[in-house]
Amino acid sequence: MSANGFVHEALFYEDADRFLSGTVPFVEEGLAAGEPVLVAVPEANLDLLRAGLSTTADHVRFADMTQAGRNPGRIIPWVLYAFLAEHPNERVRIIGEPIWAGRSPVEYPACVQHEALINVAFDGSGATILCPYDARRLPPDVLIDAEATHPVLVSGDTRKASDGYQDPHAVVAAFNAPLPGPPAPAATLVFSGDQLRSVRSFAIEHARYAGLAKDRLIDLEMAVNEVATNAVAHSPGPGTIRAWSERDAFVCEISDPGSFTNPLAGRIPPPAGSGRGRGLLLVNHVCDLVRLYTSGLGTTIRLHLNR
Amino acid sequence: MRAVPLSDRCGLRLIGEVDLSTWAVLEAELTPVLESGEDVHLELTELRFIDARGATILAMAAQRLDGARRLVLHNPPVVLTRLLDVLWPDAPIETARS
Repeated sequence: MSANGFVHEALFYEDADRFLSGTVPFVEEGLAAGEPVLVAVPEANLDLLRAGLSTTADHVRFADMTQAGRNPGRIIPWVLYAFLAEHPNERVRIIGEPIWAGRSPVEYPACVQHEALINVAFDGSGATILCPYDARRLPPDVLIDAEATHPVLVSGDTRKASDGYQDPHAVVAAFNAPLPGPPAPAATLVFSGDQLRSVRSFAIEHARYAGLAKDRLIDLEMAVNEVATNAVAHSPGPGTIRAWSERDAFVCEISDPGSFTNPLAGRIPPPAGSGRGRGLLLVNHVCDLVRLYTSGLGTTIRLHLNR
Repeated sequence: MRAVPLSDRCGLRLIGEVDLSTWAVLEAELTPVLESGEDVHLELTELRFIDARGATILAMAAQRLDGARRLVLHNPPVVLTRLLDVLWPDAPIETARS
């Protein structure tokens, strides 16, 4: 535990019994201390924990992390920060399981960056966050990464400081790598600040052709517009948008020659009175996955919307 | 985007799209109607797109009315409804459909 009271622990569990013995007391201690408790884990673990808590479950907020946190970039602002904001000036207790067996290689770097950025985003807050990791089904590399992103490790009856813990910004940098290319040549449009309408039309047209559901077209249009706006507002321009289809998702990628310098952009809401800084929050809310690569040569943000 | 004053009450008909290139137009057009001292009506049937910053300009305009007057959006496009639901769920904005 750091001096300011923010706690971020990884729980390594091998089976349902160890998941419960690591989480039930955590929840019950929080409730006994009068702390609001949120449990955001995949559905199977939600069911386990609901049953394990029995009557006290009524006092706990539950969320299916495979929905609320399908996009890892959505978890800090729209799951964790939102819960803290509901309970200002209170200690809160959260179980968050953002990495489950079945996270794809495309999602994974964003998941680790998310775990690292929790340490920055909630430093100084009164949050206790416990992140369960399925030690039997997740590959060993994932558990090593969890040691890098969690200051404290819990396994069975032991709780210890993580020897492998690393500076969060170093972890973000380590997973900042060029994104894999599209599976086939992608439709491309180069744009400047007065051509955002063309960018929106380009995205919509290709998404329709790719069969993106009608109710997702609005989300796509909003998200593409926000990222394209940043591309021309925060860089010398021009911006470039590419679009293509993958097996389960329609993908739009916007590149610009600027650098992305604040890894918490799009994760922490600006003050209520600020008129700016909500574009990427919105993008993280509506997309199923957001990937980012930034270097001295430019920034690429890739948006996935599931079909 | 362009704005046309409503003939029958205080407010504007917004036509076109609000994005980076038209934020300033929206803010400039709203200023006099916000200072009118009356409820403010925005007719949005012909608003084809609006972005997060545009929705934020409307939400902050509503907050400036301070509960004494109303901001009413008439026939807002789906994109605006979605933006306000996500980013400004508590903004004191009324919606009317006709």
